[in-house]
Amino acid sequence: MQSAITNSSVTSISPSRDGFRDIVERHQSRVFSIAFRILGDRGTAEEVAQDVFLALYRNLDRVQSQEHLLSWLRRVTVHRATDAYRRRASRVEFAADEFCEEHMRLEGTGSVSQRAFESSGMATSIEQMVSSLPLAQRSVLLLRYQEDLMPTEISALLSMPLGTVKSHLQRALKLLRTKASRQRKEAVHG
Amino acid sequence: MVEFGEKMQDSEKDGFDPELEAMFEQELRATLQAGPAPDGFADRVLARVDALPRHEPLSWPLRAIRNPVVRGAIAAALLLSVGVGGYFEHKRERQIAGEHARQQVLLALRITSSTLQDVRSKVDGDTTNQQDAN
Repeated sequence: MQSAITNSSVTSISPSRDGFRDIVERHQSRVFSIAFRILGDRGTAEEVAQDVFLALYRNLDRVQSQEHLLSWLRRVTVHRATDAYRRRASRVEFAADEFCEEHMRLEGTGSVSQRAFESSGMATSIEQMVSSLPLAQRSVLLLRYQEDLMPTEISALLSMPLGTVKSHLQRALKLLRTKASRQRKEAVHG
Repeated sequence: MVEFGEKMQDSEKDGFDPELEAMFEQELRATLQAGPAPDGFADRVLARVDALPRHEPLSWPLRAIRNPVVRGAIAAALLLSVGVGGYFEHKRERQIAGEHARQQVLLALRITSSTLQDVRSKVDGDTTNQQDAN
């Protein structure tokens, strides 16, 4: 199969159909997963992921290396998914972040059922807990733990101050720990 | 998973536990692995790529005119032709003016010559009459 970008040092880009298919197949799970975890909806996530690859196709001649491609895909996916999330939030006339905070507050009072958590595995629980994080924290957390990027790399990718990235990470981890602990208690005490 | 739960229970008594922190992050990393994209995703992306409007290749004069070097050369040629044209026009105007001046000088000379001729005839006529009278 013809490769559009063969290795990190090669700068020649072939926008041929086969070469582009190769790129899509290699990066589709990464792009889709970022979009899905930000949006929490498979349909919209697929739409966003397709848009990202279409934008890539139009800008393929500007991509200079494998690293550049990866960084471009991550940045554009996060930004487009965030935009889609905000558009959707404004359409339904409530801020999803506020909803998450309210959800977490109710959890603290035991008003929200944790049956889903109890009946499923830890992985599903973590997925659900991550999806309830505020948008900025979720994006940073995804780039840190799904994409395995260092805070400095996330800072550069999102054009966000390093201190803000670290603060988002700490807050997200703290929230997740609190939720995990609460979930475990509820599981133990029935 | 069970180990993580037990550790968490212990840490609630002690507060922050770096080991638990590391385990939690490890768990997070394992859970947040990229999942597979929906079936046929690449085909749908390529179908959208195929549906994009195709740009017809430009003919060579249009392609050439988009080249900044060619544009510069065209601009230089235009400036040069305007300069050269202006020079020749100026030269032609000067030639016309010179010819006009030459014609005027010749006319003046002809008038002067004719006048002198008249004067000379008169002087010659007067001299003959005087000799005849003597």
